[in-house]
Amino acid sequence: MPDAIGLIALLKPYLPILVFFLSVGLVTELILLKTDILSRRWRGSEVGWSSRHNKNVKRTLTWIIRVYKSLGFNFKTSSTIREVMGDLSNKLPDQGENLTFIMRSLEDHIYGDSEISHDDFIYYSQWNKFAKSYAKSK
Amino acid sequence: MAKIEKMKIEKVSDIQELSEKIKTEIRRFIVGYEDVSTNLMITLLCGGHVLLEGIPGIAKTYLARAFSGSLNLSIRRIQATPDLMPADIVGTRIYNPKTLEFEFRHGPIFSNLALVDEISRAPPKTQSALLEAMQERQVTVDGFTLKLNEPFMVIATKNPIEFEGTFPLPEAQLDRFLMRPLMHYPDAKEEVEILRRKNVQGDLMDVKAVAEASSIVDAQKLLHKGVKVSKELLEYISNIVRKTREHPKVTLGASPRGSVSLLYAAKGYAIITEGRSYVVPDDIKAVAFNVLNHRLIVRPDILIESAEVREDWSYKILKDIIKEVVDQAAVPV
Repeated sequence: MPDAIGLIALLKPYLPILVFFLSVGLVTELILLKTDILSRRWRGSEVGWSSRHNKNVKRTLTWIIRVYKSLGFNFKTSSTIREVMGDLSNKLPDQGENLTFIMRSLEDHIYGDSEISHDDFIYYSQWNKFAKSYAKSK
Repeated sequence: MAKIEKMKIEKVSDIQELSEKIKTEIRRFIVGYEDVSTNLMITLLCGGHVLLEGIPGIAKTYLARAFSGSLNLSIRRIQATPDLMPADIVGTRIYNPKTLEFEFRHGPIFSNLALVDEISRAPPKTQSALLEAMQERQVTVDGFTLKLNEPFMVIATKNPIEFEGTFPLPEAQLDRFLMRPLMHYPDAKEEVEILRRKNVQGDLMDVKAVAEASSIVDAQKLLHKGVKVSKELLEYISNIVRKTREHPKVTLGASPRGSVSLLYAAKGYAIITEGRSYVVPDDIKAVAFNVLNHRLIVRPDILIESAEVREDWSYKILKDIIKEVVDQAAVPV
């Protein structure tokens, strides 16, 4: 077994590679923290609900919360999908039907373990598209 | 008991249909209290017991009678009084001079629905006689254990304002009730409707039985097998109940039996309200107050501090505590 000095001597040729990987990790972490596109918001945990589900569900949940907050509601982690969607539907009546559909689909998937159909995703993407433009306009 | 057509219970939507039939029958006689009717149905489905609490004259017993009348089950009423003895509920062995033997005479507990009116008027010894029956669905008399009927449900009523000639219900007894729905005054519109109906019908109550025992037993089995609850929601339930034990205003929080009751009641709520085969957090929130309110002991100094001369002064504290607890628990998504 080499001692500490021996270990450093052994790793010395690989030091640049180690430093490179550490730097890449650090920069990626910074991007995740700071930017909007790759922000941790996509993971849900920073904005509220922490979803264990697929990317489309996470993205939809994230947009729901972002629009919810931008409308001046106080989002709490104790809020349910139904409560949030109810408030949103009241404020955005033209999105009401879409939101009710998405709510059912999300509940079916998250709590009932059913698969999300391709048709459901069409509603999801319609909502996400609306949410993006809404967020930009705010 | 009248003969009625058996309703097949194969899927959760059948249970919702059965429940709607029963509630429709109740609506013929009871104005309002939709939530209490729903809670009675949930309790029946979960195989639990219910304690209806409210001031005198707001149709607690009337509702219990309408509910039990809509079920084609054996119903026995127990009017609790301070001199009611355990044998009056459970039954007793009586010497038969003809056969020269002791025979067991079954008490009113040997029914499908035992309606215990003004339960707090029964002395503690008699209240305790209900414990074994409510939890284990059996009674022990003179060393003999006798099984109760299936389904079996205790519907007890209690009046929170009278103390003279009453005995407080022990915590162990309260914990055995799945729910304690609180009944308040009807609103002005409902009160007029009550008067209108009484003006036409009087006190006549010809409830039609619309559900029979085997359908209810099938529905009870399906509730446990057919309604999914995710692991995360089980943790959510546990989280809520554990928070009641840590609340600074509470000396005794809900027991693990409280957690199980919350789980069962949420499953019942999912089926009855939407015919859903899975539970969502809103179901748990919807039943939390009725399932937990009688399981918490609020610190006496808090009760004294907030005492107000009002019909529901102690319930307001309970409402606030349970709301706080639910608001602190993160919803799993």
